[in-house]
This record gives sequence, C-alpha cells and structure tokens, in this order.
Amino acid sequence: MFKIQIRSPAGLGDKTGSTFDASWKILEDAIEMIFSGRSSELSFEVLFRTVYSVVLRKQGEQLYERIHDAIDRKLRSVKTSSLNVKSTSLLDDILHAWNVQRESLRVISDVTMYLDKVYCKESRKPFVYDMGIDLFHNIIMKSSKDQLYGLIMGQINNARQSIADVDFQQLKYLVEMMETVANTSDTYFLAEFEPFLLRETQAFYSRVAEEYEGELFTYPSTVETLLTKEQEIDAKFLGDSVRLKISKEIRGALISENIQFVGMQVLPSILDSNRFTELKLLFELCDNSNDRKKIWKHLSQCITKEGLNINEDLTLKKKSQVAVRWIAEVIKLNEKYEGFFNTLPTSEPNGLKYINEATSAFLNQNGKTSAEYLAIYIDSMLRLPSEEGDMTKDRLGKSVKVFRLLRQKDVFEKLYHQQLSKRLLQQRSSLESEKNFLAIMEEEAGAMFALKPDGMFRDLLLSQSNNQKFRQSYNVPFEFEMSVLTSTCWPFQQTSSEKEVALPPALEKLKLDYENYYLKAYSGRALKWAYHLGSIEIGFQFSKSYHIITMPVFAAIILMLFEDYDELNMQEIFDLTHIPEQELMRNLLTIAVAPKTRLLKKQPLSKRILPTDRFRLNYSFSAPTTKVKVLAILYKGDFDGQFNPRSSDSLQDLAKERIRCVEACIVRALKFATKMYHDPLYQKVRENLANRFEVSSTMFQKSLDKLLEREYVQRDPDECTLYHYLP
Amino acid sequence: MPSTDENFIKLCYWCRLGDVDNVDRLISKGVNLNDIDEFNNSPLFLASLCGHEELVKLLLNRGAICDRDRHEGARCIYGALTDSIRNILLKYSISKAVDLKQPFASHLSSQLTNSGLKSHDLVLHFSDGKCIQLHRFLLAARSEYFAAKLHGAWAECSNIIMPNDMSSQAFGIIAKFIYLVPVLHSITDEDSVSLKRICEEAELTSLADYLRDTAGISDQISKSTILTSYQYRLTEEARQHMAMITKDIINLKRPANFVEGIPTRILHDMKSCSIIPDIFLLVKPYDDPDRGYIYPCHRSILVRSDYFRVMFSSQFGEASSYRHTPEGIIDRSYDLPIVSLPTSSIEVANLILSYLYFDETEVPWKLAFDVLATADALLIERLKTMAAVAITQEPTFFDLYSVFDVLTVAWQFRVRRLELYAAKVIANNIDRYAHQSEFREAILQSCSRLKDREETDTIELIDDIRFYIQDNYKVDQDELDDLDWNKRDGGKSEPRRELISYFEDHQKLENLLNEMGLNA
Repeated sequence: MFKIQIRSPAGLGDKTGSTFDASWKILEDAIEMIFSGRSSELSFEVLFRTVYSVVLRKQGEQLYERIHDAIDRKLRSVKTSSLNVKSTSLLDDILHAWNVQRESLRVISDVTMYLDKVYCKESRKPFVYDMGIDLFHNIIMKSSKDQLYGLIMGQINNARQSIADVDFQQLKYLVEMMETVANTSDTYFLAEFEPFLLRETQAFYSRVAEEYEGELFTYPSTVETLLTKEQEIDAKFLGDSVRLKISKEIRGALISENIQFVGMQVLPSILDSNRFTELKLLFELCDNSNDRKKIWKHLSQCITKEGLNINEDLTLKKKSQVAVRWIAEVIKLNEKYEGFFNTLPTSEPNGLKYINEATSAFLNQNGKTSAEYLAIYIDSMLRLPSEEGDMTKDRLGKSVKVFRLLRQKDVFEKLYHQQLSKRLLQQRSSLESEKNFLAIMEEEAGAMFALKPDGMFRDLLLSQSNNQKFRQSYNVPFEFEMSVLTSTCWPFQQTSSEKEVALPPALEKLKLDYENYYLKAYSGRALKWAYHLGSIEIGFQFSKSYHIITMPVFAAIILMLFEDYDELNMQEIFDLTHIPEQELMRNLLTIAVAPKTRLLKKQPLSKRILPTDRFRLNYSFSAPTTKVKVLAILYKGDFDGQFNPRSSDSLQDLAKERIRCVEACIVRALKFATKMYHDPLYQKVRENLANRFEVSSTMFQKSLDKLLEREYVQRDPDECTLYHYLP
Repeated sequence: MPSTDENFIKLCYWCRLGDVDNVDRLISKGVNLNDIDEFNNSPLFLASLCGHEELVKLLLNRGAICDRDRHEGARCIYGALTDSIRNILLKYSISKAVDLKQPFASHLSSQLTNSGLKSHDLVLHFSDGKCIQLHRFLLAARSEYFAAKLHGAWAECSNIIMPNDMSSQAFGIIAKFIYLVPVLHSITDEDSVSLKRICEEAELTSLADYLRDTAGISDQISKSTILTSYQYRLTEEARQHMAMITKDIINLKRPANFVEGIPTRILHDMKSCSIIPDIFLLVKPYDDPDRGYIYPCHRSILVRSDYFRVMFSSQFGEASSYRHTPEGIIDRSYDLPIVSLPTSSIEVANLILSYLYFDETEVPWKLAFDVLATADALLIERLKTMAAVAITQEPTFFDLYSVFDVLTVAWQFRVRRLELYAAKVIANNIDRYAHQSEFREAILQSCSRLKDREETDTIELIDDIRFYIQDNYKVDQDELDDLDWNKRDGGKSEPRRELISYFEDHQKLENLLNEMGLNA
C-alpha cells in the first residue's frame, strides 16, 4: 500500500501470532485457563500483544465473534453440567456461576482492553465485559427464570411470615447480580424482576388483608406493624427506590384495594371506640390522596350518622332544656372531630370541609328543628346571668359555628328576632351581651340580619329618654316604664281590639297623659297599646305574707277589679274589662288555676273555666319568696306542635316570606339575564338563596306562577320553558 | 521582568492561537506559567483575551495564578472574551491553587497511598505505633540524605524503626512533600518547628527555605502568595530529580543476549543498583531479535501507562510474581520480573521513560511515528498527542514522509489532529495531490471507514479538505450565498480575487470526485 514503514511494536506476541488462527489459539487457551481460575499462570504481555496485533490487522470483528462464541460455549457447558433447575441449591449454584463469570470476565476484559478501545468503540459494540454479562443473562438466567424467581420469592415470603431462617446475604448477592445485568437501558432487576416482585408482594398482602382476623379498630396499627417489618426485611437486601415502591404496593394492597373494608368496617369501629390515634395513623398510612378522600367521605358519613343518633332527650320537662342539651351535644360532636382534624398534618386541608359537611348534613336532616333548637340554645345562653360571661361567650361563639352549618337560616333568624324582642322587653338579658352577640352574628350573616335588632335597640334607648322627660313634666304616683316600639322592627302582631280594654283609672290616666306627651313631641304619629307585651308589679299583703307580684297586664287588670268587688264571675269580668275572651281565659287560668300562682279562688274548683265560674281573692296565697313572678300559661296544645300558636303565625309568615324571597330572586336573575330557561333559573335561585333556606321545586314553581300572573315575567310563546323578563 | 525564555515566548504564541496540545507540551518542559512577556502579558491573560476556554482551564490546572487582588489577575478577568471564561476565572480561588499540578507530579502524589498496586518497599515505624509506607527509589531520588541511608544502614532492611523523638505527624508532612502531595498550605506553626529540624538533617533545603520565609506570617493571603511562588520552584526541582533518575536508568541499562540467556548475576547487580528498581524493562532492536537492552525501572512510574497499570493490577503472571511481607510491602529478596517495552528503538524507549518519569513532551520529529505507535500500544493518550504535535510542527517532515503516511497513521491510531493536518496540507496543495493515485486511494479508504462509523453520505476527508480550502481564502458560507444570489439576479458585481481562486481549487476537488463516481 503506502511506503510508510511503521515498525509495529515488536513484542513476544508478534512472532507466534502471525496468523489469526494461531493468535486465536493462544487466546482461546487463555480464556479456558481464566475460567478455571488459573490466570496467574498466564502472561499479560503475551495476551495483550496478541489482541493488539489482531486488532491492528483489522481482524477485530473476527476476534470479537470468537470471544463471544467461546464464552457462549463456556456458559452452555456450565449450564448443562452444574445447573439443575430442580435442585434446591439452585440459588447457590447460580451465584457461584455468576461469581466465576464476573471474575473471569474482568480478567478477560483486561486482556481485550485494546479491542474494546478500538474495535468496540468504533463499531458501537458492547465491550467484552458487557457482552459476557449479556450472555450470562441469555444463557443462564433466562432458562432458569421461573425457578429462580420462585425460590427468591419463597425466601422473601418466608421472611415475611417469619417461617424459616432466610439467607439475606444470598438474596443480596442475587439482587446485586440482577442489578449488574443490564437489558438495553434498564438493569435486569428494574426491567424484569422488580415488576414481578411488586406483583407478588401485592398478591401476598392482598391475602393478608383478606385473612385479617384481628380487632377491626386495630387494623391501622396492624398495617403499620406489617410495613415496619417489611422495611426491616427489605433493608437487608434491597435498594432504596424499590423499597419505596414495595411500601407503596403494600399500602395499595392493604388500604387502597381494601378501601371498602376500611371505610365501612374499620372506620366505624375506630370511631365507636374513640381511638383517634388509630384514625390518625390510618390517614398517615394513606399516601394516596384519592384514598384519603374516600376515607374522609366515609368518615363524614359516620359523623352524620353519629349526629343523627343524638337523641332529643324528651324526658326533660322543658323544651328549652331539650334544645340546650341537644345543641350542646352537636357542638361537642363537631368539636371532637375538629380537635382530631387539628392533630393531622397540614397536608389535609379538605378535612375540615368534610367534617363540617357531615355536621351540616345531619343538622339539616332534622329540618327546622335544628334551627329552632339553636335559637332556643342561644336564647337560654343570653338569659344566663352575666357572671358566667366568659363561658357564655365561648358557648355563643361555638353556636355561631353551628349557625354557619345550618341551611334554614331564615327560620333561625325569625326565631332569634322573636326571642330577642322578648328578652329586651322583659329585660331578661344585658343589653351589652346582646349587642356583642349581634355583632358576631352580623359578621356571620350579613347586615340584613342586624337591621331589625338594631331598630329594637334604638327604640328602647329612645323610650328611656322619653320616659325621663315624661316623668319630669307629669306626676305619676307609681313606677312605670313605657316602650314605644316601631312596629316594623318588632315581630309582634298588632291587635285592634285592645283599644276597648277598660283600664283601672290610675292606669287610664297614665295612658292618656303619655299619649298626650308623645303626640306633642312627635306629631303625626299614632300610638297603639300592646298590653299583652307588658307586665305590672303589684304589692299585696296576703293573710300570711307580703308579696310583690309581677304579672301580665291583663292579669293585673283582672286582679285590680277585686279592689272594688269581692266576687265576680267570668262574664262579669269580661263586661267590666272588655279583655278579649281568649286573653281573659288565659289570664284567668294563670292566676286562678295554675298551682303556684293561684291569686284568685275559683268556684267550682276545676281545671276548666266556664263563664259561670265565680272568682274571689285568695288571701291565703303564699310563696317561698317575696317576689313572685306570674307567667302566663300556655295552652295545652302548645307543646305538641313545634311552634306555639303565636309563632305558628310566624310559620305562615315564614312561608310567605320565603315565597317573597324566591320571587325577588327570580326577578333579579331575569332582570340581569333578560331571558332564561326554567332549569338554569331554578339552579341560580337555589344557589343564591342557599345560605338562607332550601328552595324546593314546588316553592319555586309557585313563585314563578305568581310572577307570570302579575306579568313580571312572560313565558316565551314558542318555547314553554323559556322565560322573559318584562320591564 | 519580561521572560526571555524561548519556550515561554513560544508558549505565549500558542496561547494567542489557542493550541491546547502545544501549550500542554511546552508547560511540561518546565515553563513558568506566571511569567510575563515583553508587553506584560501573562499566558493566562492572552488565552482569556483571545477566548480560548479549554486553554484557560488547562493553564489554571497546571498552576497559572489568577489573583483577583492583583493587577495581573484583575486584568485577566476584565479582559476575558466570553462570560463563561470570566466565570471560570472568578471561580478560581488563590487559596485553593495549591493542589494544581503538573501531570507527573499528580501521578507521584497518587503513589504515596496507592493501595491497589502495593509497590511500596519500605516501611517506617514510629514510636506512636503509626507506620508510613514509602518507595525506596523515590526517597533516594528526592534526597541525597535518604539516598545515602538507603544504600547504607537501610540497605538490607525494609522495616525501619524510627527514633523516639521523630514524630509521625512531621514525617508524614515530609513524605507528602517528597511525593509532591500538596501539603504546604496545611503546615501549622507547631509542625514547622519539628519540620525545620528534619529539613536541616535531611538537607531538604527548598522546604527549609519555605518554612523560613513563611515563619511568623499569619495572614493567609500573603502566605498563599509566597506558597504559589514556591510551588513552581518545588515542582521544577522535583522534575529535575526525576530527570536525573531517568538519566541514571538510561545509563544503567545493560545489553543482553537472549540466545545465551541473561546471566542472573547481571540481574542481581542491577537489582541493587543506585536507583533501586523493582522491574526490568526489555527493549529488543528490530533487526536483531536475539539481543536487547534491559532497563532497571519502577512499577509505580510505569503504571502511568494504562497498559502497565492493568498488567500489574490484574492477576496475571507479571503481577503474581511479586511477594509481599506481612507488613504489606514488597519482599525484595525475590527476583524481579522482566517485561518488554513494545518498541525496538532505544531512542523511543528513552523518550517513553522520560515522559513517564518527568513529563518529557518534546518528541524528535524523526521518532514521532514510532513514539506514536508505541504510545498507542501502551495506551498513553497524551504522549500520542505530543507526537502528533511534533509532526505538525516540523516543516521538513515531508522530506521523509508523504502526507498519506500521516493520514494512514492518523487513521490507524485514531489521531484526529493528524487527520486534520493531512487534510490541511492537501488543501494547500490541491494542484499537486489531485493527480496522485494515493489521493484517490485515500479518498476511497475514507469512504470505507465511514461505513464503520456512521451511516451518513459524507466523506470525512473530503469535508475536512473543503473546510481548509474555504479557510485558505477566508471564504465563509455567507459570502457564497450572496454570490449565489447575485448570479440568479444576473448581477454584474465582480467577485474578489480570492473567491475566484477558491472556486478553482474547489472545482479541482469536485472534478476528481466526479471522475471517481463519488457523490459527496
């Protein structure tokens, strides 16, 4: 070819390795020696130089093929001679073959360094070492794959069940072997064995889950124990990444796949026994957000169930006691789970939502009762003497939380207004705490909520100053308190008949004087007297003791008749006073029949009052305290319904008001959109009113019909479900 | 003072051009990298200014200093052509500069603790129970005091009990100093007291000087400044020591006749010669395979070549012929093995040894091909590059060899530098080569090589030549595109003269390819 003379490196190899076959003979013998562990008898110099010369002569490819075949032959003979797939020592045999192979390859690749560097790199062939490892994979590992896997898995499962002593060192070596053997890009371990291992692990733990026989509520801690044990086992022979995968697989098998069991059986059992540490553990074990969601849902169902199981304790006499007890239970329940929620790590932001939803769900299954109970609860809290201020404040704060979860907020609002007005007029609570609570509520429910109460407060303040002024200009021989109420702010019905009631002269004078004063001060206003809201205090010396008796105005009017008369029958009383019959009956029952406040003697003694019954003063009346309070009794039927007669009016009011709200909402929505189909409109109205009450479809239909009738809204002539706004 | 060293001036030249291999070659000749030329430029400044990133890295690695707090260093950083060079310079910290090394020095350092090879043949026992394992030959090469001891009191004994007042801590520093392990920066004041004593006794004057100069200086920065100036001196001193021992080796080599066998007496004599070898290297001349020369050598130096490294760390006969004492050092009472160096030339053998012992990189061009081949067989990539540099550096090279010889060698031993060089030579003389049959053969061979490499339809040699033709006439692709555009326009603008020459040369190459029926 060219005239250049490169004296190619002289060496011992050159002379003997002049032909390829001669060179190969040297190397073939050497490979045989290396495999039998006799490499120290060989000369590196000779072997390297042989390979070098062959490669320089461009026979690298041939040499590579020959080496490949030689190793292939070697491995096949190892396979037939010393590997028996049925043998129990298969794992040891494979490991032995592996160690021999790896060691021999290392030595061979020292010799073939120049082949690797020149031929393999340029032809993009795997290096001799990698080629040999690959052959080991193809010849030894593939043929015994099933047995190999089976034996390894058997060992691992034995360790899991602590059945027999397991040779972890051996397992570790096997894992190392599989990690060394590489497929194309991934190691053999990653590509082939790991999926198998994970599958088997899953199967194993699914069986464990199926056969679980322990106490239901200890399931989470059992799972944790299993996990720790598995970690301990795995740490002895597996790498970090696969250990993570295994632990994930186990959680999957024991929790994700088993979520039905966990949610329906384990969870209720944990809750029944109040084992919140187990519950917390359960959440910690769930690393899958989907599972956690499911558990939260189950938990939420359980809370609802628990809430529904809170009984109204009907053995208690007073309705208010029932209500207070019930609401207190609700608050306790909610707090219990909220407390649990707070122990969870912050990665669980939706938990509180589930807890509140659950509380809300059972609150609303009780319908209006919940709202009513809450109102009563708050009423009784505010009526408590203010010494217990802090505790009351705390309780009120908590009840606001309940209010937040309430769906029929308008019912509550109505009741609250009613009770507030009573408390104010009867001066049963401190104005300050009322105002404080109202401020909290205003923040919670909006300014609308506080509109009427603010009016009430204003009226009372104004009345106080009026009273002072009045007292300065008129001389009244007894204590009195006038409250002028703006009728729109107070939830009372106006009675028209009360005008005719004949008052005792002293009162009549006061009434006329005040009217006189007030109309002078505020011209153009009309005053109406609401006797049924007032009360009168009378001091009287009975035969045994002196008592100051507080009683409703009507009762006082009746009683004061007996200043002039010794004995009267009912008809006579009516004629003298013109008190409406119903009220008369009520008040007579109160002061003549009710056992503790029998100021009048009735003849005949019976529980009912007939027009012919005769009454006279009961001088022998006595009571344990000087001050006696006469409470107007309620009609018998009051307790049966949820509202007493007077608030049953408000029930009707409520329905009417709801219809009004729905109508207004429809009009607002349509005005904004001009036209809308039935369903989206209904949806929108529902959404807008959701925080006040639930809009039923009949309610909606009713309001819509009314609006159509009044031509606020028009049905589309072509499409009967499309509605137009009429300006 | 501007340096007048001829090598330094050459180095500055290559720094401007950015020839990494050439600079590497010159540094190994012992050029002080921190000198300045007549314009007050340092090599680092030139490389940084001209934007040669790889070169900047090399210079920093070999001990060039970039001290930001000084004028020269700041100038390098402000002069840097690219951001990435500036970042490299900024990352350089003078306090870390101590472990920057010449290749032979870093090899020596690695041998102090090289447990894989186990070539230590001396162990010192200290009163605190600690031991230090060392190489006799290196101790002798680096210090006359130790040389005398090794040939005197310590000659027959490989376990030396050190006197009680000798601290293992101080001697550890001495050992590191001898092996060129960066240790100066970590010497504490306490150490220096006992060190001074040893230095005086063992006549380690340069270390003693350093200790004297730094005594009482506590400021870390001024200490580093002194340290870096010593660094150069100490490295060059070590290079001298290693050159001396190489010279001794070459002088001590003995002729041998293989027909009669090598008399064991000769081997015995050589084993105990002044440089204390632990291996014999055999060189057989090409023309007379029965005769040869035996060199006394040292395994811990030979293993700089991957060939010898594998030979002595694998389990073959060569490595297994050594015996170790219970302390884990070489038992010198056994015979030393003889291995051959794959060259037939004494000159090449001498050069290889010089390279391995002290980084001799100056390859005489007449030896270049042989050195290249031997370095390839010994798997010493850097020496291959140095040989290639020698070839490209020598204008009279083609009096003896043809450009196609260069190409063949380049392909045979995978030296890209030479491939490019050949292509450049051909491009410059396309008239002459276009008619030579060797050129056609070379093209065909380049074609066939491609089949092995990549499945693309370019011929690497042709591509390289095209590049150099363009380069010769400073023609770039934009200009060609413009020209193409003008032609289509029917424009009459006259192309410049170089462009016409370019087209002529280009056409010659294309004609040849067409003639050969090649499509590339």
